[in-house]
Amino acid sequence: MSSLSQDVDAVADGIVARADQRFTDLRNDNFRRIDRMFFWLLLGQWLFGILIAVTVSPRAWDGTEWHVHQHVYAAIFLGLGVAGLPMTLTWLYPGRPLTRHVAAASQVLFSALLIHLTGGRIETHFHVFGSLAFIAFYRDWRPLITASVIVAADHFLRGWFWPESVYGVASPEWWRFIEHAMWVVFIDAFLVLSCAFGVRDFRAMAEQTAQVEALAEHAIRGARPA
Amino acid sequence: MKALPKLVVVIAAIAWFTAIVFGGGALLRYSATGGRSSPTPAAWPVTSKLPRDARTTMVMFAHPFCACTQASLAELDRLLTKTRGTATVVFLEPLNVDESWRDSRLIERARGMQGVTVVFDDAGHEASLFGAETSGHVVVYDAGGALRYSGGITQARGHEGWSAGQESLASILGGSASDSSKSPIYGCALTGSQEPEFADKGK
Repeated sequence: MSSLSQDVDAVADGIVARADQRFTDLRNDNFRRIDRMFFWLLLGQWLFGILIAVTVSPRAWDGTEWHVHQHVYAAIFLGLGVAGLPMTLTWLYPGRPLTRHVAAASQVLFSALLIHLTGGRIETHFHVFGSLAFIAFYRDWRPLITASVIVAADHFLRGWFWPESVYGVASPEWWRFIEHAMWVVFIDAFLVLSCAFGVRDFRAMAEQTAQVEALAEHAIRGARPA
Repeated sequence: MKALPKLVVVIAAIAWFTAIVFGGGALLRYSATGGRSSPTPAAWPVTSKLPRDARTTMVMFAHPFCACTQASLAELDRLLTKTRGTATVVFLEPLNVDESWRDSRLIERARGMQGVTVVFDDAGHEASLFGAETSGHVVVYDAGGALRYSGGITQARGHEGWSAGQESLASILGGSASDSSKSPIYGCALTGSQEPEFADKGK
């Protein structure tokens, strides 16, 4: 093999290794950035839940006596419970796979809590779909699955024990659970696709960056006086 | 930041999720627990001063500040819109309370509802006649004064949406059912646990 050919192979291997490194850096930077965003989102949702509880149902009454409504305690303590671990993980361990899964789980659990605090308002159910879209910002399809499984499990269990709270009727058809799950699968299909496109964009960006960096280094070496 | 052992983190995540599930379960259980009620008289109480309709008389007993009763009023509003019926909403007015007990958001809302007449229940006298102990309790009597329905019309505490009570009530108002029904009532207690029952109960 000629010296020129060996040089070309070495340069190509260098670019590939550099592209792999840039790709990993880009993905990790994105994971950490979204983790930070989740920290503030979870904090905001916790405070929002408390605001809803103290606005909508601040007190429960027994005749002329009143005490703080259970919803206020739930918003403070259950909300803190839901947000606490993911906020800790996103702050102390950003970028880790478990952090992403816990944040995704927490986000859809917040949907359930907010739906409850708003008295089951149909409008609040849209929080689930907004949450799934936000989780897709990770450009990683796995946390989407975690979140979707929790949504499906919530529907299945409540549909089994308290169907009117989910479906609005006491004796829903057996396939109603599947109907609801299919709408989550519907949005998941597009979000998973967007994650795949996002990863592909990261890869293309990493390869371009690696090539530009290699060319720049080559040009600098060529311009350097012997 | 030094990484914690993976096993510790996974155990913490599982413990966290389990605690959330149990906390959520407790919240759901609270929401699905109905309030108290005494037996509702089978015939319209003769001493009642509440207005009666020539056909069907529907009465809801309410606490002026009960957050859960917002949902009961919303469901009553839907029901009245659907059936074009009328109802009397009886707001509790205990003894020795200030003017705010006649001027709450719930009272304002009830006054704005089509087909609703708002009356105040001095010391809970009317509620005791009808055995109502929980805000949101609805009773329906036919033209002859016979009880047709007694119960709640929401699916949980403060939760709007379909409920078995509302469905049976809609059937009764539509004239397609004849038996009296009973559904859980979700709302605040009309009388406190520490205070005596309504001042003139039993008179």
